Amino acid sequence: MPAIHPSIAFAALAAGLLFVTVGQAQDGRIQTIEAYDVRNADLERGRAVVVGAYAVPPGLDAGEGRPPIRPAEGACFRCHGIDGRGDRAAIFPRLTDQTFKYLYDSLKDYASGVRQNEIMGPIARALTDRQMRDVSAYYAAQKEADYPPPERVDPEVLQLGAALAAIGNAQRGVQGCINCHGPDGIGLPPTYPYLAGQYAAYLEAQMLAWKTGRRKGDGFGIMENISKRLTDEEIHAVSQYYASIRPPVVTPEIAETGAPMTPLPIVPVQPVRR
Amino acid sequence: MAIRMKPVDVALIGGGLTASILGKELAEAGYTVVALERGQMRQTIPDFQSPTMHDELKYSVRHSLMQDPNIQTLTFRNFVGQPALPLRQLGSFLPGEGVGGAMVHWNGQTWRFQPEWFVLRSWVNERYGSGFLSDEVTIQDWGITYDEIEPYYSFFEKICGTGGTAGNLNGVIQEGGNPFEGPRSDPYPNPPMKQSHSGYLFEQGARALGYRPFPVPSSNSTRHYTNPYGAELKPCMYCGFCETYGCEHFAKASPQVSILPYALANKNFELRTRAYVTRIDWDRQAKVATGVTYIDAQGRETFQPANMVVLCAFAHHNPILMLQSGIGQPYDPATRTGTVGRNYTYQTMTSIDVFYDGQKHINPFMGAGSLGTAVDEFNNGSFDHSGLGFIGGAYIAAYQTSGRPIHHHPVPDGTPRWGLEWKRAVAQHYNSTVTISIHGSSVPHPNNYIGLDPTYTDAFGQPLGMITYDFPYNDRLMSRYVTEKAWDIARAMGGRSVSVGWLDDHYSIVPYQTTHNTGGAIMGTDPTTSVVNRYLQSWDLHNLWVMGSSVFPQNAGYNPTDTVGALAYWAVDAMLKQYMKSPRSLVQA
Repeated sequence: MPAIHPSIAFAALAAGLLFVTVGQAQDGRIQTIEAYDVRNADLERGRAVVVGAYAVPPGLDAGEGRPPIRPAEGACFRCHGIDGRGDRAAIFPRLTDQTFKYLYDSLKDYASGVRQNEIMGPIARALTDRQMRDVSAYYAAQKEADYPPPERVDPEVLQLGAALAAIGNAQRGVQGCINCHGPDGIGLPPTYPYLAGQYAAYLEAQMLAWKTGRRKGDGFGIMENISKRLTDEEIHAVSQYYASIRPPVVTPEIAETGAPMTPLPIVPVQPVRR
Repeated sequence: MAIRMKPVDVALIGGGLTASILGKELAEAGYTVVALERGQMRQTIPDFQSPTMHDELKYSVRHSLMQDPNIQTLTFRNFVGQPALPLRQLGSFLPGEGVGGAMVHWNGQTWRFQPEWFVLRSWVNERYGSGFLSDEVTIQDWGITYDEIEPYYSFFEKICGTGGTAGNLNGVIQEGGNPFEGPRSDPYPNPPMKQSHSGYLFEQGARALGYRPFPVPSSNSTRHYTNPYGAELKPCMYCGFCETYGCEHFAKASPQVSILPYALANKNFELRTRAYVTRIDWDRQAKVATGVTYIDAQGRETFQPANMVVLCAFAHHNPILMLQSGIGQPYDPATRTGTVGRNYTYQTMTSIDVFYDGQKHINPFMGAGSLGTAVDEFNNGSFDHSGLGFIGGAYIAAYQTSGRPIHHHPVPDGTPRWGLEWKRAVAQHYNSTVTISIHGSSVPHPNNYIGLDPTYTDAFGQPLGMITYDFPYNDRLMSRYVTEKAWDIARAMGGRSVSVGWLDDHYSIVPYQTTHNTGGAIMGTDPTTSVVNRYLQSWDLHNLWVMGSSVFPQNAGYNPTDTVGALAYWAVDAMLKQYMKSPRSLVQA
């Protein structure tokens, strides 16, 4: 049995905890949550989008009366890989095992222009809402993708990045990344993405995008504020740090049996047929 | 022979909220100020960062941010005549220790007192007649009015970045706010918190009964905000670790985030930590304080001469230090004379659990210290007490502060206290239970006071403070009345069952209730019934001032912090505009 990727626990928990951030927004009412419930997404249709198939699998329509996307636009795997590994050199982020909600929100933000990117913008706008959910569920369900060998980084840079991750910067009023992104960059599903093993160039580009106002959309403006307080050197350092670490392995039983007090029965994410 | 330090203009005893306010304002006005804090320095970075801060065992159970009872504690008894015994672990209340004091680990609930509280005795006499209450209810006027303190409330809320919906703007009632609050000159500086599902369910129940619910005013910041000093607060992440914790996000208003950096930036201000104050030194003939004696970090007795001394310690520590220093006449419950230690009050808390038996997803872990929805129909100034036989009241609120695993496990009445059935009940109810708090006022009673213990001493050999307290009959009637009203709301919330925690026993100092200790060095208009005048200046020594909730003649049905902050700004204003140029008693007795 291969090493269990740590975020399995969280991926499964995410299904139950989606109510947290979505269902109780703003005025405390339980709002429509179907869109954020990973159980309402279909991995196979998501796979079809990822591989750029003309149509979704037989018996299913694309939904919402919109034409199916064309392969040239939508073949996610060309950049992000069939297992979501992305491409470090080309600054395509790793999507493997990222949280469903985060991926779905990202696609919506690309489509709406909240996140500006010349590649992802047109692709996201070509996707239907259902396709966004399906493809997000697909990548959220990918558990294994090799990491490229670590880059050679000045240890002092890594040390600065690690300090920022752990305690932030007192002088400039920046809290540690760990408060939201979890110990060892494991993430805090469903809202906060994992950072461990994400490619440094991508992380750096995102923080610079926040710093220059090209990316918004985290609700409270937290990342925008943090990025603006950090120097470019610090952004580089913390990006290198997170790229250099790997999420720890956690005990898999938590996910498979369900913790005794999870709010909903755990429904496993639909497995990928190989 | 004590070490003698260089004299300063002002010595502040304490390093929490009020010391930070005074330190900032007095140093800025050009006076040399030293704040003597018994605990250690601690800052948002690195001390409050995760994951170490999210340690319920360390902070909520072992009270790592609180006073260490191994050095100094209190003794306690319910009645005069009982032997008082020392509190060896903190329980009912949690005084802070270390820079920032209790405002590091507070929840951020930022309530103003209704105008009636400040003139309570006059108001009761006028409205219900002077025979309405028994002589045992020793409520008093504060010597100030709401209108006088309102600008200071407003400023302190700007310092804290408080978020909320105004209910009364300059006398005009506002939709969505608390219609029973006193008039505000300004809206809250920030919008209210996003409401929780528990708050929504409470709101539905309250509206069904015709009440007007509103979001609890919160100093867990709701957006990026810069306060008048220039301090930058960040939005709360609803992590559910406020009370008994420091905030890792710069989101909860605290001295460290909101005030203290602007005092420390001034060379006139010094924050001296690990300085355990043991007494105020004063001249018996000239009737002025001459300085403060403390034990420094190396255990050396040290004298800090000062032209002015301000007690900025926690509520009951202020009168205890006065008693230990022999200042003023100690209150004597036998003769009901004396002032220092008189009118010790607390808070009369009850709670109700509404169980939905798995039918709702409350997600209590998505919480914040002041994430709540409240109604104020049953606070003192909101309803008619005729025929009820008591004075006071309470707000009723559904808070969603945390779902932390050690302490949060609501189960219905009749559930076994341990074992399999208990575990099953916890699993069933953890995520589908709403708790309603009834935050009741506290009136003074001649039995309830702070004195010095005749038997027990602290680590420095000084007598321990002794608290004598039980819930007065007035407050039991009040609690019964308002808890019944809250019970009606609870039953209107559509749960499967409701458990009511009535107030039906003596006060116990063991289980945590609230850190809202008040009184003991109260303010007032008459030196025979109060310790400080309306400016918080001692009647006995004009250069000794007392801050904090020690000065409340009685406690309102609200959390005290907003009033503590407002009073500190009120007092420092009087110091700077009236006192410092010409030191004297500002009010002639």
